Amino acid sequence: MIERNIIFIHPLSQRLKELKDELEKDEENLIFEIDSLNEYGQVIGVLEHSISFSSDLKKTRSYLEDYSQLVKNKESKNILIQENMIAPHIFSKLQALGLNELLKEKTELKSLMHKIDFFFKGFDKGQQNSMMQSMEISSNKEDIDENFTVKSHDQGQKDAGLFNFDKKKKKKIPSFDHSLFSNFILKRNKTDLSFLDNPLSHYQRKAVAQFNPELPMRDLKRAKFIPVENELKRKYGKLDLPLQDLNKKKGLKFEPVQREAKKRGIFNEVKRELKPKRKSFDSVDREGKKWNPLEKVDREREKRGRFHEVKQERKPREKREQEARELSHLKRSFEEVIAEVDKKKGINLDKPNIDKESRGFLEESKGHLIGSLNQTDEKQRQRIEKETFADEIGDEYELLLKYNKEKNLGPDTVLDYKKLKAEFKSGKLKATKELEEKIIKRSYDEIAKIQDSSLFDYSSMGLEYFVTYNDLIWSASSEPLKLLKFVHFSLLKEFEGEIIFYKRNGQNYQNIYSGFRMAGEDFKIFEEKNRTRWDSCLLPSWQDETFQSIPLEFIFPYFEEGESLGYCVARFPGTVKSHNDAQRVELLVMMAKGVFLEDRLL
Amino acid sequence: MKIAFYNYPVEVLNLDSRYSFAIYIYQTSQKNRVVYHYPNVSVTKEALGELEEYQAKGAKLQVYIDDIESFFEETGCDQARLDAYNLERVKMVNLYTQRKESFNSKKEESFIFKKCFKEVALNKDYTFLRQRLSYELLDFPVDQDPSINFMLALTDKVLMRDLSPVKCAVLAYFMAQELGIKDYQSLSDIILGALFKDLSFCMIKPSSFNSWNSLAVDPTYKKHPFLSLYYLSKLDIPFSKDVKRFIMEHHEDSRGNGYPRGKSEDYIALGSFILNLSEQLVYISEGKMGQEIEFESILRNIISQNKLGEINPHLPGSVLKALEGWVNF
Repeated sequence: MIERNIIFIHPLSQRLKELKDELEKDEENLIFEIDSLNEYGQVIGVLEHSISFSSDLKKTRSYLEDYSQLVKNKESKNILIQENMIAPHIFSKLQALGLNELLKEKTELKSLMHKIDFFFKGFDKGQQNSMMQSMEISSNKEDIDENFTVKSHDQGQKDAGLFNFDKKKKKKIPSFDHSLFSNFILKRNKTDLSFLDNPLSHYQRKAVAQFNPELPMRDLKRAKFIPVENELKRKYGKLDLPLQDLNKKKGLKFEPVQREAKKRGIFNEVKRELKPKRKSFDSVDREGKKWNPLEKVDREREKRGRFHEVKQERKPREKREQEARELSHLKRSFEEVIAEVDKKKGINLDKPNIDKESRGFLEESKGHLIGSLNQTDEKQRQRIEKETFADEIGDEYELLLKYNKEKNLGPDTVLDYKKLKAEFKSGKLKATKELEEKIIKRSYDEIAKIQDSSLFDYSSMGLEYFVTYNDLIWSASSEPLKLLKFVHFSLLKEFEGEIIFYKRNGQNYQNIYSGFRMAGEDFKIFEEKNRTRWDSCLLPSWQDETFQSIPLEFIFPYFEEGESLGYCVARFPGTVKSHNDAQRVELLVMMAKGVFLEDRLL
Repeated sequence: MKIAFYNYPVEVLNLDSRYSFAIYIYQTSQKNRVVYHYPNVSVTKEALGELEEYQAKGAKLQVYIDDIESFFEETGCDQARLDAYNLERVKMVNLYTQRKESFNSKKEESFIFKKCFKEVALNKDYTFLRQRLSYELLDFPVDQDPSINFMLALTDKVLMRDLSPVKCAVLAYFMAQELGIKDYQSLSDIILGALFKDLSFCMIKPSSFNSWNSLAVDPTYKKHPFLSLYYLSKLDIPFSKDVKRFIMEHHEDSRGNGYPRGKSEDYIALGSFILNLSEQLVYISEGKMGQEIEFESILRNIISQNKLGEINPHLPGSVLKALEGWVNF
């Protein structure tokens, strides 16, 4: 009996709720109610056979899209139940994603139940059949085993039975010999399917069953076939081998090969004539035992020297002379350094004819070294040669470093040896006054690019009064005038301001709170003077937009859905100086808006 | 936080003098600094006139901090005069160092959240948590974002008393920390959200606050997240999108039954859930939403049923998990 897994994806329609209740009555059914798609993914991955019901088109589409690989197979069924039918192009899209059926909400419960039964019964039958087949196979196997054991006994072996690993006695599988017809042998398929015998989870089985192999892009012919080397050799490669063996056996001379070698020799001579450079190279190579690393260095130097000569021709005379002087200075210091190095090593080097010119010096030093080396043994010679070679390059580098230090041009030039040398040769390293100034200027320009730490305003903009007001409103809900007093307090504290509130009463405005310092007759006169102006004000307005006048007056009318509720008048003794301050005042007086909605005030 | 360039008035410079420091000019409008005079160049009459003109237009003459000693020597200007000319920046640096010093001085003080939370739950005393929050805020940077600066300036003033929005902010902050939110900007957004989510209560008539029933039916109350944002827009502070989102969504329900938008779980930010939960905990424990219920039972109710009170959000798993840790105080 297989598991009857039925998944309901929320939200459920009325019909689905009924179906779920009906299915819950039968204990054989396993019902999953799912809210989120992630949850669905976890469940569907584990279930072997399942049927999913949903009633929301969007959710259906998203679960089919997300888990199409797990859902689109014969082992799971997806049914969407809806009030209305959907457009055919949408249905075909969903069908492609794995939707099996689209049913109307009116569909009867019985038919739905029948669909579920029909779906799971198919698997039940299949399982029974497979069980029967496996039973048959096992019974056949037993027969085969019996035959096998009998046979093996007949042959008189020690290890008889099914697991017989004796290769000699193994029954050969007749196969077609491809080698007779081609140079390639078909490789045997070595796919390891032993993992199928291991207990797998449903999920793994599903994954294996649904595995869609994708062949990599390669030449399959070459991958599957291997060349038969022997065949090739026998046919083309060594046709003369049997002949040689035959000759050896007979004691004959091996003439054909000798003749061929002679021919080659002639051929090479002709080649050498044609390519003289190649000839000289070969001759050096043949004298491999006498190979000298110094010679190679010399050759390179000579090449470089030649290169310089060509370059010098292009430059103006003065520049050339100056460079020549610098170069000779450099070379002289090279000579001194090498002499010092040699002294340190304890090699007796009499400097024969140390010429001021570098090329001469190099030739003589080379000649001297070779001469002295004739007296030492082979190993010592090689060691000295290597050391001298390394020291030479090292000293050259040191010298350039020294030069660089003197000029003090920064560390970058030191790091790039090649660049430094090239710059030196081109005369760039000579720091003129102009260059020095340029460098200094550049450093100041770079300093100018440094970003100072940002400076932001550190102000609460009076919002702390709103926070307090939010707490106060719960306790002062029955005493709204307290709230007006709080607004007055906030203005007083922030800007030393005074405020008066008027609420609309029919066609007139009535004073509900007065925070003005003047009282009695003075206030009455002041009020009478300005009242008409205040009453007619329909927009928040400052007496002086430049915030210069003292006292500065501000009128703020309160409106709700286009109807005037009242207004407030605030006065400041020159404390509001900018638009920022004005904005803060406007925010603070806005706090009183709720109070004007209150009817009880009048 | 350090001052790299000090501003100074052009009057400090003398005619025909050669200074060993470079004279920089900072254009505030373009936020660009250039070298006006390289060192050892004499200051001519024309140059002085030009510098005066630049200064009048709002540009700042500046000296680099490394050259400050030679600046004092060669111009005769002293530190006090220079500080007075750079008052705002000096104030800011002083504030920064002061905050850092007071933060470091209390660094070794132990803090056990559960112990403080127990005090809140049993005695409704937020003092310890409030003090801890104001201590932790000392470590926030004052030179990174204007909204962080605004939040710090505001909390300096409001974290003195146990006001309802402050309580919400305290709980929201520690809940966010419990959920692994550590960066200054996000924490600042959550605190600002908690303080300003009900900013527009001042637009509702006070009598509606007599009972929860009257408040819940008030037409302005249903719009209050929108209106709070309107108030915030009046400020010239570049608040992050997150603060606005938290305020806007703090009454949304994961099942889509909330207001003002009726968003569902996937579209509601975690910060909004945090604000909602902190509000519920404060309002219900204070009896503002009907019957006064003890903190522990509120938490247990939320965890077992994942719903509570008039505001009825279905909280995400992570928030519930954080609350589970709070229950057994």
